[in-house]
Amino acid sequence: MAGKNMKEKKKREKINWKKELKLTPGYLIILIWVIFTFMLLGWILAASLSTTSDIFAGNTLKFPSGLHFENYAKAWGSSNVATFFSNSLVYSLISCTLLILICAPAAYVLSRFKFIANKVIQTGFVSAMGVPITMIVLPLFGVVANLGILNNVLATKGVLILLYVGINIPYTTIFLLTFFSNISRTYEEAAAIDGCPPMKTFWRIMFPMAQSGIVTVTIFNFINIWNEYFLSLIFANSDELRPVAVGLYGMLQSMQYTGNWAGMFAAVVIVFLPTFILYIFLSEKIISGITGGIKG
Amino acid sequence: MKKRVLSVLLCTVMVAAMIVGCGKKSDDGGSSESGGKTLVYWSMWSEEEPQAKVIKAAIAKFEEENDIKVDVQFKGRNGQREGLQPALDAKQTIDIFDEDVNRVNGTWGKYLLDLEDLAADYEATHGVESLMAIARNAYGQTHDGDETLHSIPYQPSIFGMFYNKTLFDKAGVEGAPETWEEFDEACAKLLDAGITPITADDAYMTPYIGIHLAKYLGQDGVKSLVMGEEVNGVSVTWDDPKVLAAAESFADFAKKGYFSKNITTNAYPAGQNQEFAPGEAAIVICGSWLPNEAKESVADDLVWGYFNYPTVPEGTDDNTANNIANQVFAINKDSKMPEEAFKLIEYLVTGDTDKAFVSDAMCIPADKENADNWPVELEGVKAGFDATTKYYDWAAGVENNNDLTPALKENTIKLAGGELDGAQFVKAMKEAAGQ
Amino acid sequence: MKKNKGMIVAFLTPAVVIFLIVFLYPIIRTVMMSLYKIDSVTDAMDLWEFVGLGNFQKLFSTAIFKTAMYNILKIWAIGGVIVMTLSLLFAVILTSGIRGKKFFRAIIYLPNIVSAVALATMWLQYVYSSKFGLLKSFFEALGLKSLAATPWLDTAHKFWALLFAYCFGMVGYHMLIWMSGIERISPELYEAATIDGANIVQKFRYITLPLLKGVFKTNITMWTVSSAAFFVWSQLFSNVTADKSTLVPVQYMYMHTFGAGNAVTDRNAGYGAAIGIILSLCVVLIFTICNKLLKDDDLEL
Repeated sequence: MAGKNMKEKKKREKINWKKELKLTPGYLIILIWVIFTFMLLGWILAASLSTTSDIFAGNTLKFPSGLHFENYAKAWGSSNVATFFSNSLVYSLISCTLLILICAPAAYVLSRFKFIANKVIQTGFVSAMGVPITMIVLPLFGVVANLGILNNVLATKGVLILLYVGINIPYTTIFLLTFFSNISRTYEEAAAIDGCPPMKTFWRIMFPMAQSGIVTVTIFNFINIWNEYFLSLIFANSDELRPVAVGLYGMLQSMQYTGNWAGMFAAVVIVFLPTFILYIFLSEKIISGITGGIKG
Repeated sequence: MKKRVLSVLLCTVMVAAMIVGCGKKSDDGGSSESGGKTLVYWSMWSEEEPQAKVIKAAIAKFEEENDIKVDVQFKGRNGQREGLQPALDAKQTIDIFDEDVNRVNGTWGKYLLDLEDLAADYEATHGVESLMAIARNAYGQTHDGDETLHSIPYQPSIFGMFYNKTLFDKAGVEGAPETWEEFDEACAKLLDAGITPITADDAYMTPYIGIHLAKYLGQDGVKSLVMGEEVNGVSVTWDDPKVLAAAESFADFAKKGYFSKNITTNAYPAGQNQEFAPGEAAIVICGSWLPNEAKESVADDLVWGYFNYPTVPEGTDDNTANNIANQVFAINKDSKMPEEAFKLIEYLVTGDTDKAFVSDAMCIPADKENADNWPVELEGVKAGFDATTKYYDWAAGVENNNDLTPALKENTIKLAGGELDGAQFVKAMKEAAGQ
Repeated sequence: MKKNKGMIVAFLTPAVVIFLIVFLYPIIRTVMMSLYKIDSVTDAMDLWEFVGLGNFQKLFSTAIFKTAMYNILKIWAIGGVIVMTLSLLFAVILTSGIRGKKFFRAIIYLPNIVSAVALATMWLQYVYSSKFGLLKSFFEALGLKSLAATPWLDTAHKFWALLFAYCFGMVGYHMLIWMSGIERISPELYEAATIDGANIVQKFRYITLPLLKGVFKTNITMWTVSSAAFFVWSQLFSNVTADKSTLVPVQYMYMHTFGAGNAVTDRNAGYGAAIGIILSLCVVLIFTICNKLLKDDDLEL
């Protein structure tokens, strides 16, 4: 409840000129960077509405021959784009949820308790993150393919999700370690005195307290899985399985090999925009979901 | 409150699972439920490429005519290079695949079905001799000289110098240069006319120096030079005077200002699209896929010309030696339907499909019967293609040593930019090779 | 403690089991592969040729591998300082109560979501172009002729061009991590400090910084992991064949595992595995050092 009140208070606050003046250097620095970002990303947007010859003549921002929305029509071409999007959405949503449910407790235990296996598990996770993904994925493919389940679409989807989750477990757990280790032990002690069992204490108290970390890592996981390329390239061998990243890469390659660079940028925007909207939407949802949890 | 968080999460999972379930219904993904036969073809093309569209259309027709289903997976170049072998090793059902002739026959040689008998009729009526020879040779090179046919070529390409005929006319250059002297003269005239003679992209700098060196040393000489070992009885080191001569003639062009001033900074496709296509530079080194890649940027008055890399003085090879590459189809030796698979391949590399490749993707025809059917943009290439009698590998083998190629690329760019002279180039390469 | 034991097992089991399912076999296989000469990653074991530590010996005596390691070290160290400084600065500014925080945060993070292919093309063909590049026109407008004429993409400058382009995309990512750390610090601490008369710099020095130790560790770990895996940008900045100035270990590993460029070169997946192991050890080393240097002293919030 407290959080919400403060938010509302902030909104109602009148502009405090003294405070804003103090913040001017900050505004300036941020503005310079944001303008720079706008120029660069704006160029990509402009290029997607331009023509290839204009891009290479340095006329991207001048649109000498008008706006070319047909680039988007061309890039959309593949009838499977919708399937790719829904696949990506399913993979990302399920995997992100599972990852939090699995990794948050693990990170909590690893950050809180001293036991022999602790260091071993942490080091194992970190070293796994350093091994190039090809060395993980290709041998796994050999094993899974020999199980003979890759001809079944649903089973393959399950395998893919298991892999997305598995591959991101070290990352998510290591990421969340810090966010639990800095929470004071007094909360658990108080809960213990009230007779709340430790596991319940975790879900009720500790989990919500690490929310800033959980939200952030979920955003990263979501984008990671959404953009994941190599694993899907190797495992997803039919259109019903392919996520959007593999489809995008195919589109980009085709556009380059046919010299249609304007189309390439259009393809990038097509794939990027939903991610961005999802990012904004999801980060709000996750935050409110978890703060909602605290209140309840 | 714990329940609330959990229920939100669980709902997400359920909704997502439902979407998965729905997606499932539309499945027929290549499984043989139709009762008929299904061929599985892993393609090196990406779905939106013109080649893929030609193949898709052809397959649709093929399925209708033959009552064979084809499950085609457009894996793209990366998917093929990184994913095909793991899939073959795991005994996935793949009947047909395609890629570069050397990679298919060399790297994946052990998975290939012998096509000698299956392809006999095809070869007699449709096979282009040079392409068939290259396909056999590619297998022989990596299998102790056993030159049995294991792959069917299509999509041939050649590597050389593309030029802008309009600019040549403007500068008063007559005809395409065949020797180094003529090349030198042509560049001088272009320069006098205020035209940048030669440009190139970073992507093609090593093939550039590779072909250049090969004119002096021959392909085996180049391979020996970069590998640091004897190749087919030829042994060349960086101390060889011919290597120095090659470096110096290259440096001479740089000194005379024949190379674009952007040659050190051209990131592909800046050279071909920003300098050659709009008509600022007259010559660009590239492969015959160039007109297709540059078609959106070419100046209206550009007339396509092409010549094989010129003959150099006292060189080992003349301008009839060149790199002709192609893609090939191959059949998995474990395929249960080799005849059907070959039928599909034949359908894809001959007749109407071959013509569609030519018209839709600006390819060189692969069917002997279509030999007069070249794309307009590549008409100049035909002479060079037909004149080629000695076949180089990609870049004449100069990129064969992974540990040396990055240094070679850097030093070639410096050589072209005039930062190194011939002797300094040789010295830098000697150091990079650890000699 | 007995009660805790049950919880430790219950909480760790799912993570550890799934981790082992996915990673155990590939990692053991990679370690073994590094001792053999192998054509293809998925070759059956009877095709492996034992070479002992030969792959490692060859790596350490190969000049170009040392170049690649040196390049990645520079990316990690120099890029690390740049990215950490900028991202922390932005995070502090954005959490200092400025207006439009959400908007700015989204924009700064944006480059991290856009496909690297598009970003790299944008840098190569637009920003760094020596014909009409953004940098060229920018410096020309300022009258800095010699800077405007800098060939950003030639062999002498390409590394820095790459580094800057990469850092630009990474700042937003690390900024989000910093922000999640700062937002967790309770505002009461700052209020108390304000009452005690502390200014912004002092508050940053005595409250924010010490409490960000843990997040700093996370940031360094993640930066190290992404540096070790760094490869897409190098590949996009060097077309078809690798450039010496931008070559990095994973790219080198690819060259030896799948063959490089258009040529059909010798492949040795065992050599690639050895590179993977070296990289992995580097990550563990840096993680361990960080843990030693930045001990969490059970900070009370």
